[in-house]
Amino acid sequence: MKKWACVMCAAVFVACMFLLPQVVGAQAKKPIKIGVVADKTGGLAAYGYSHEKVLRAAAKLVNEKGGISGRPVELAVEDTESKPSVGALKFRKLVETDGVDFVIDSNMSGVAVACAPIAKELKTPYFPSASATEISGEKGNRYVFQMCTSVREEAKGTAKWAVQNLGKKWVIVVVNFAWGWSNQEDFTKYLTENGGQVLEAIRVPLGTSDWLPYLKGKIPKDADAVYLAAFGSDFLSAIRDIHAVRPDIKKLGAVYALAAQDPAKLGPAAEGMYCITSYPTNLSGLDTASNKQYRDVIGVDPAGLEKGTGTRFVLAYNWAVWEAFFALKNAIEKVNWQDKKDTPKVIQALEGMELKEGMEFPQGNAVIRAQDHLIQTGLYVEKVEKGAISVVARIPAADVAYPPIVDHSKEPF
Amino acid sequence: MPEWAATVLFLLMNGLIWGLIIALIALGLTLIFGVMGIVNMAHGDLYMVGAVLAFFLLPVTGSFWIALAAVPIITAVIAGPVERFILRPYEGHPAVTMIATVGISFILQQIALATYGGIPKKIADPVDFSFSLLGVSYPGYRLLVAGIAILIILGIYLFLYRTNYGILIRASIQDRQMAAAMGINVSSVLVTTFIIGSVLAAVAGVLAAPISQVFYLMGNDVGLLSFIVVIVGGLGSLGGTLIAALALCSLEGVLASVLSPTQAKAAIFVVMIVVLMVRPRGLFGEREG
Repeated sequence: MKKWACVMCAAVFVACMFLLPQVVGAQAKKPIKIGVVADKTGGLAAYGYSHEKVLRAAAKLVNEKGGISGRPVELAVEDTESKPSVGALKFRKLVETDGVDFVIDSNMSGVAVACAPIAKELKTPYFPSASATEISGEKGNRYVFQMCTSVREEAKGTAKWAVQNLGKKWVIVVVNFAWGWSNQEDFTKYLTENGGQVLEAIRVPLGTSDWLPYLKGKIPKDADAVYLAAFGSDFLSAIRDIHAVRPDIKKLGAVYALAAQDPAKLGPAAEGMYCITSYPTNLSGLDTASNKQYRDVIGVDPAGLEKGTGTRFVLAYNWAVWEAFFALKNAIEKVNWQDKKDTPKVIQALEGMELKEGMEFPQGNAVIRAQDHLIQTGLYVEKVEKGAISVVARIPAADVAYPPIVDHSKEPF
Repeated sequence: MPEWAATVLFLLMNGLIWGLIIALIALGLTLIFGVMGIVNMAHGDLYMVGAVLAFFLLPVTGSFWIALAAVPIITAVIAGPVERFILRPYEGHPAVTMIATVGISFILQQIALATYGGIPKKIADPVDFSFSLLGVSYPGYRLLVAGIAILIILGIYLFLYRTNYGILIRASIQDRQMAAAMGINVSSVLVTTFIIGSVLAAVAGVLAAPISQVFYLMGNDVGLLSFIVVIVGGLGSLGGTLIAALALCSLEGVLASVLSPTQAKAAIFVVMIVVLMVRPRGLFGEREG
């Protein structure tokens, strides 16, 4: 009996010797969970589809190369339905139920603003891809990083170019919600500073099919150009009706108004129109090896079409979710993040992080400004000519930057 | 003509043209309610289905007009079984049928999202001419749409008031039990009415596709406006619906010249509330009993 007990003890000991390292190893290889609040349905459905695809490509790429700090990455994706209330609920679910450690996305400013205080409450770093200025202003906090250009950066960067190239007398037409208001306010401010003048500002409700009633008689005869902040079907309806009212007026679209549109099908209304962007539609607009590699990985051809389907892919801000993912990866590896207790170190590593152009940061060199967590990068102006889009101006990051509105880097964790 | 007068006149005419498109959709909505007592929450989505089908059919047929002719047939094939198998079992339960149509609305939207995608797209105007209307280069296609809408509305009027089957439908609107007691095949009337109503919305979707971009949520905005039109016109009243569509759309257009765009949109709701306070059954709604 004693002999038998000794054999058992020895067997247990040997088993422990073999299995313990594996148990410890498994702990070390516990996946890093990243939540994604994507706008998969609702008004921004095309953006949500694109952002999810890009993030899945990023996670696959990283996992194939051994993960982040040797740990695999797991994405948990939730649909915001393009609604702030749903987005906030899904953010909470991702952190509290699914146990994610970081959250990326939502292209909708309303969702980002709704999720920002929850990110702080749940001490979870959040990287929205929405551009409202408040996200890196009063509505932001130490846990929120705006990894795409903000409306203020876009307005400041373009206003000078607009006055010099398109004219001094402007009419501003925006969709009537926070993003449109930000565009109106910021573009007016910087246009005036650069010697321009706003003759009229028109706010039209979101989802308006017929813009003629709001444009007829409202665009003064001496106006040189129209600044238009609308996207999707609103954008298409607006340019059609602006063209009907004033075919000769120059048009400048706010960021990504042209996103995923086939320029050949836009017709005479869009001919000669300009549009601001932080990521050119065609590869030729940013013809670098890293951008080519990035497009190959996410499955988009040089003309902006999705490989496999041949349909237009919303490029818009998807570089911003891709770069957020890799900035986060670099920060996690730099501070050797293990679990939530190390999160403040990740935030400190991200504050002031320099992003060097390459496969991980295809949009180009950029800096995550430490104070307001807003990315500092350049912009492009695209033009529709003969049914094709081409880059006609590049605006350096120095012209885009404005002094930070807030300083989150001093906030306690 | 002074500038302001030209603007008001233009807005009035533009409003009337939009009113005709809205009337097409709203007539289907009111017909379905009048005969079947169903508040069809998926009506705006049938308008979207028409536009999406046109988008898919255009490259196949190569002609917008063939697509316009084919869409009603496809819509009828979809609408018939929907009425027979989804709505019929809940006949006489307005709340249940309303919820069922909300479900149909979600299903149609998600099918469109999965197949057509979430990017709004443009269909080229089938006729490429524009003319100067009070200082605006007005697309000729819109005028053509207005003409087609008038023809369709006239056709519906003749069908309802000059054919035997039209009499059966009107009899069913007035008193369904009595119509059934008189030997009218109400079951056939129900399915036909639902198909006609759905086809009207889908045809409006095809006609509107080159004007208002094709998008899987395009039915929401138009659906809401159609409900307002039907409520103001009087639920179940075909003439009332037509008049309300034309009146509300031109009113919104004219108000846009003096109010801000958002105020002009809100003003339509104010009109609806005032009408309902004065005439709770709408302008041309009849008292029950």
